[in-house]
Amino acid sequence: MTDRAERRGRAKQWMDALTTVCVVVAVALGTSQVVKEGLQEFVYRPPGVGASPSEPDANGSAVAEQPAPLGEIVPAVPAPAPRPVTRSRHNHHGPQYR
Amino acid sequence: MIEQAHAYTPALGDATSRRGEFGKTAVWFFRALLLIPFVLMGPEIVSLVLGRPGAAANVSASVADVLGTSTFTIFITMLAVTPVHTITGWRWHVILRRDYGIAMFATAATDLTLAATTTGDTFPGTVLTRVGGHTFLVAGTLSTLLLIPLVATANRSAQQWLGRHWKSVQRLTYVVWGTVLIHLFLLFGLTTIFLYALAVSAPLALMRIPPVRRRWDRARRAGTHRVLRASVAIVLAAVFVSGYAPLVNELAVKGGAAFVQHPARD
Repeated sequence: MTDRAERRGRAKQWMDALTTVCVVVAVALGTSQVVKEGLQEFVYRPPGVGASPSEPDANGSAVAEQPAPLGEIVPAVPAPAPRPVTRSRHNHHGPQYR
Repeated sequence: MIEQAHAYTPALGDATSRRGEFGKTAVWFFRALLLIPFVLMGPEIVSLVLGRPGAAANVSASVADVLGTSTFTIFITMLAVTPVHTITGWRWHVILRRDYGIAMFATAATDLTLAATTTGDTFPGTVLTRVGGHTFLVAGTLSTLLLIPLVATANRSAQQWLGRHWKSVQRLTYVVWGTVLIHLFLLFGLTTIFLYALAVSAPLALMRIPPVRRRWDRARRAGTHRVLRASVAIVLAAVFVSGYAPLVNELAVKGGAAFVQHPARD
């Protein structure tokens, strides 16, 4: 009877050891990443992950929610004439003059 | 009297065997549901194994949505087994607790493996970055690792090996419950999936509080407080469904997109 209880106690110790190993692996993994990448990166949630909105494209709008092109809604307006460029006659050091 | 007893026996036996047949069919139905995540991810995984172009990106886009949501849904269904027994007294479904636990580990392990190998576009770096580079990833990985001792002891021989300690090992389930909720909070904050997770967890946690469980069990056995029990059961079921239905819907939408290999890219 005592022998069986002892065996079961040892079995419990084995399972506790296995659980501890699992926790240590996860904690070591997290710690190594904090050391390697820094705390800021560790707590940062990249765009598109979980509740973070998707990464904005060049126009500043989310890729997933692109509005209809304005050209389909607003009729084309003639572009204003370009302003004449006034060049300083005293400064000819710009790259266009080299 | 003896004749009457003889007359009743076959009828009673029929009812019992019909109930047994129903239970067996229902158990196999619920077991079949466990294949859904693998069926939904199957085409993308096959494409990945065959090395088709874009397969890794597809798996990367789907893995958390399909396998992550599936893992949590299976976990919650497993946790619902005991409260359903407490409320109704049914026993036919108790075997599903072990089956769903093992399936949860299989789904979570597949999720972790695919995430470690394919999510380089979202988490640039090494394999270690992909499974532990952020707080929410560490919480998810820890949850999966803690399932190892649970699955290793989810059998009769482990039960005999551990004896009275078996239950204390299985209580690790509650730690996993906590780490999964932390994982979801770090991912979603106080929005959508985390709130659904709280909604499904609340009734399951309430029915596990020892005095509540004991009083309900006593009342059910004695057949008292029927109206009160029915009302509370309806409220608990409504709260549970309010969280469970959106999760299943999310799985259906994202899983359907993954199955046809057109996952939604965030």
